[in-house]
Amino acid sequence: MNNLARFILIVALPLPLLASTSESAPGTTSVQSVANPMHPSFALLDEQGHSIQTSGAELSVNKTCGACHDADYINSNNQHWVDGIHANCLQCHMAPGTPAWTIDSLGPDGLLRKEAVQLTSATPEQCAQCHGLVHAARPPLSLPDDFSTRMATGTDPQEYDWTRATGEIFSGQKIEESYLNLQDRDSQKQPFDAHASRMVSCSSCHYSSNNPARNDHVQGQLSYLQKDPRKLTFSQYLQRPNHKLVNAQCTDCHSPLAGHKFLTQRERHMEVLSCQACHVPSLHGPAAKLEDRTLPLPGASDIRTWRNLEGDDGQPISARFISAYSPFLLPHAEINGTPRLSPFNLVTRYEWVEAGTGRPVDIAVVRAALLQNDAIHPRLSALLDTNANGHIEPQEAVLDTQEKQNLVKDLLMASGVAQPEIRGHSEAFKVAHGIVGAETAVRDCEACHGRDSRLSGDIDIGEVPHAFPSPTAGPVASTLLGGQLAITDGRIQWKRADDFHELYVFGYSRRGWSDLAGLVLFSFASLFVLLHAGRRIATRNRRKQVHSETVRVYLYSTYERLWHWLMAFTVILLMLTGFEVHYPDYVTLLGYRNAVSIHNFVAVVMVANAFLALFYHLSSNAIRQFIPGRSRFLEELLAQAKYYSYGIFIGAPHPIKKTRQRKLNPLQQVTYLGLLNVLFPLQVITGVIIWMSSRWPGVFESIGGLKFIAPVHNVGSWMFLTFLVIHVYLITTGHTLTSNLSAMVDGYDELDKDHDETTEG
Amino acid sequence: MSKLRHFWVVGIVAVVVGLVFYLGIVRPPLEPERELAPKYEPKTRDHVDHSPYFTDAFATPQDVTRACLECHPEAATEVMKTQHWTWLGDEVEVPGHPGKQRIGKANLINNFCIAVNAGNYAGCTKCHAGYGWRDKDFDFSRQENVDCLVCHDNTGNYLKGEGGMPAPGVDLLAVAQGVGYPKRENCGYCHNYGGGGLGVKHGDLDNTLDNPSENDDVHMGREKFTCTECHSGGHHNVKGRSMSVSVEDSNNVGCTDCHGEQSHRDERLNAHTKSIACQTCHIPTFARRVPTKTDWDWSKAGDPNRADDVHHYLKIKGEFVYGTEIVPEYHWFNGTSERYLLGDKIDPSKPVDINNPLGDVRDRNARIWPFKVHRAKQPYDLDNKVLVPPRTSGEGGFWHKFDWNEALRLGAQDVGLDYSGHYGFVETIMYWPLSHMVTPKEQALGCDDCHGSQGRLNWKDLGYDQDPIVAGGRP
Repeated sequence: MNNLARFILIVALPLPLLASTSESAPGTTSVQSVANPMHPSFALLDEQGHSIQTSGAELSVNKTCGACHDADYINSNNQHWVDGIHANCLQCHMAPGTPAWTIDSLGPDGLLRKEAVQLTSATPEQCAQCHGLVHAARPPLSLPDDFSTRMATGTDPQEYDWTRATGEIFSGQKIEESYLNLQDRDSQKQPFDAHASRMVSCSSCHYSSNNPARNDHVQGQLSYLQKDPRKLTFSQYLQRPNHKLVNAQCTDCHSPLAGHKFLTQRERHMEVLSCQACHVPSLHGPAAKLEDRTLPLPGASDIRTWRNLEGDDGQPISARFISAYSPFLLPHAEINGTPRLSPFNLVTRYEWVEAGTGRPVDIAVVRAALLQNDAIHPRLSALLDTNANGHIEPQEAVLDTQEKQNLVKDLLMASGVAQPEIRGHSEAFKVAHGIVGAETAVRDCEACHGRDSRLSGDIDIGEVPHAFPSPTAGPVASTLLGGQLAITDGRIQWKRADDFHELYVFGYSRRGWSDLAGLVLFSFASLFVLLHAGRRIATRNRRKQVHSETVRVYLYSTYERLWHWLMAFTVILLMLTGFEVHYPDYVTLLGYRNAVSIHNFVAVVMVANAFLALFYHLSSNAIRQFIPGRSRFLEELLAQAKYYSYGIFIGAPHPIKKTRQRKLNPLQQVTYLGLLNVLFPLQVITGVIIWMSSRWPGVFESIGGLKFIAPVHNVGSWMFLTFLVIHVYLITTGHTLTSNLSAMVDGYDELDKDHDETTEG
Repeated sequence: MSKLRHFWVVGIVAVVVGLVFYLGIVRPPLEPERELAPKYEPKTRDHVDHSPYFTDAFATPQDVTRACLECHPEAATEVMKTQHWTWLGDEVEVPGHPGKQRIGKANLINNFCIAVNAGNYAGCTKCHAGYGWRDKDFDFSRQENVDCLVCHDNTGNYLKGEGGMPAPGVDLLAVAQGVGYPKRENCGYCHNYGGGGLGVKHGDLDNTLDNPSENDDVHMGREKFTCTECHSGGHHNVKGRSMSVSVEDSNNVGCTDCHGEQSHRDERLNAHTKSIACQTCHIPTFARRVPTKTDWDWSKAGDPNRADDVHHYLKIKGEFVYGTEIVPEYHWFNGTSERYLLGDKIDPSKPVDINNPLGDVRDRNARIWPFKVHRAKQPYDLDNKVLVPPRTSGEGGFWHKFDWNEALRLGAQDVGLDYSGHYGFVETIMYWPLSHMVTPKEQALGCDDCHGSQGRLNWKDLGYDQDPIVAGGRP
């Protein structure tokens, strides 16, 4: 009978938890069973393969299920087992709420009675036994009492590590309906996870990789095949289901390009952002910052610093105030090698490690070593209890001196651990759940496009506890790009690089040299203009007033004025919007998204205008105005330069007279040749390349990518601005201050009469 | 030439216009556009102050009506065409019954107070929009008997009593001086109290709607609707219908009168609208504040040893169950229903449907609707197998003598049924489709409220093989 009692106990072990989650809330109708009605009945077998009804021996789940399913194959192809978690079949496959099997569950034929066969593919309730806060039931979600104190051990894998690492909660419940002590909870109308609320359960995305019913994820497929039609039959699969579960990607189900129409550069965004970057704007569970597992006393919390909790360690976890936090967007190389921004939380963890193998010492072993007769080892207790009140307060439960560490080390060695030592590592935990739908996803461009945005700032990962070694970067953290782990004055930080490796984010990334070059150029030009204007003003009385006779001449045709002013208008708009895109912290006129849209639209107008003007100049032969004459060109160029630097101050006449045949002086010809043949094409080409970065990413990367092209475009815009300043200044050097301007407005200029201006039209 | 002097300005203006066109119309919007109800604007019509018109006291309520008709000569004829006056609908085919007939409150049986025409006129017609309906010989052609005040009193000082007459003590002059357009309280005066008390009948109509919060009713709470914004219609022909007294769906009010059927942002939700009524998701529970009656056992009535307790037992009415925040029952409904008519044979071995909704999973016009279901045990003739309406409030009725046999004999005589003298009690069911107390969208049902192992819909009963989230919707 002893054996029977044990059998009941074993089968009933996972069940209390399941039963508690399947209670239906008042007001709901009956809970429909999720059990597979087709599963045949079977005998319960012991380790020897005999029915326990006759042998009275202990139930062997492996033998019982293994009678039909290939238990050895399943266990060796089971990620849980690979990770050292030896979950048995029933822990994941017994339908929630199933009554425990007893000897009465067996029929006269020795098989389980039909109604006792309540088996199912794993439900969220079962995953929730070990994987943090997965909540599928009706009652409001709340933090379990042991949320902060339970630590996984080899024999007790039940833990909340997954939620504690990032704050992720997988539940379809609306956040406002939960019992979390959460800031602004009542305004959070969205569910914790949009998939959970839409009945996408854990196994919808984490399913057996050889399940023939699922053909949306075929591993090792050939490039010319989308799917492989050759599959296991269902009977083969049921015998040997591969328990290395798939981690489905968002795009296995979703077509991101079917939506997101509001985004400019859609394809580029999809390429460099994980879906979660925008669709997990914030997380609502308590997330750790620094964990200390070196002193796992029963009932004590191993988390020293929480990222988003108020209150102190002495308080019950559910009484502490949670504030949602935005996970950190960090660039990370995906499996296919492309760097992509994904949300992470960074956590530093300290634990005892066997120095030889580098393997962490099981918490159960450490805990056993610390205890003597179920109480804290008296030597340790004496050392820890610094205020000698007979209790170990949370703030005392830390190995903050070498003496305490050495004592624990001795205790560990005494219990058989070879070369124990404390090691810390700072690890990055990627956020995959807690998805929100389009309504609450990040939509504002400024969330990333700006110097002070979600991409900026160093990330605090706690302080190195007293007498502890500095942590090293964990396996995932060491594959992060664009930053590094840094410990300064005991403070552990992820220091972001000034620019993300391989990623150029408008508004956030700046290339120092391009900004500097542009600014220097612009400053020199402005300074020159100011000095020159100052000198002109200072010398204005000394200049003799020359009143040569002038004549009004129709100098600029309607079309010439049209294309000029269109060009001026579009260039000014382009510079305004361009600077807003590049320096959103300084220029905020139109909003980021508007600035991008206007920039793209106006650029098209400007290019069209330029080509029409080119056609006009070629067909009307007006192009010769811009071509320097061969004879005396250099001489005239020097004369014009000399005029601007000297003659203009003493009232000397213009060295080259403006005529209808010759509207531009040599200096202007050179400038416009450069402007129209070098700078203008440069801006157009780099602009088009940036625009098409979305469409042809391969071509784009091969010519240097955004990190090269964008700064060039930036320098070009500074040069345009410089030109604009000089241009506007020099039009004041006509007959009168405004005569050049008014010529471009109405077409008529005042020209010296002594030139042959007799014919018109 | 001078005409073209500033032609370049035209060019710039053209670019600006093009830019605005691009930004405003061509460019995809940041927030996807949604098809919402046209922005609601309350119809703030000022009603003419009637106090100067009336100076002398009125001797009878009919005098008030005559005074109204002097200026509104068509009003009485209009009202007299409506069911508020006739308590009968237009001629209609009742499923399972030959020919066409007029049915309505006046000649139907229900499972609350059972029947008006079983000699109970004077008690029931307290809610008739007329004066003096005390027996079957009431003259429906007399205009002065139309009660203008019950709908148009804006003072809150008008009460009706026996036979629909004003309650004793009502100051008719003051009420007449204060008439206006119908307020929520005017409609609620009868409709919130159907079945003999606050919230008894409908489950989605009670006096919370007099001044509701937006969580009680988003239309009336947040948008400040009055009843007549939806239940509109000129010439006193108020739109709307109740399945308890009607079997068809014409001249009704519907959500899609204002809202588009495809007004959700989520395509998947829009796909639901061909099988799910709006109300199903947007009225997650009913009787959210005021309890409504869900069970009524007439067979327990008349026990002199039980104390009266208004929500549990009354000697004249029997035993009740009230509930709040009730999850509706869900059935297919295509807008039409069957109806138990007086004289129809019943099968006493199972519950009798009085007005079950029509439609099933194969009916393209049917959608899954939320219902308040009211179950009762009411008397029937053991030998003739028909429901018999007892005389209750009328003279010699059950409420006075507590004698079922006598009450049923009188009632049967009134409605023209044979009564064998042997009675029993049979369970009957009435269905009340829910349309009021619509919640804000944040509180609408989500996927897992209906789908999955804990869903509230019973897919097998609705005619599906299994949960359509797995197996797909109806073809």
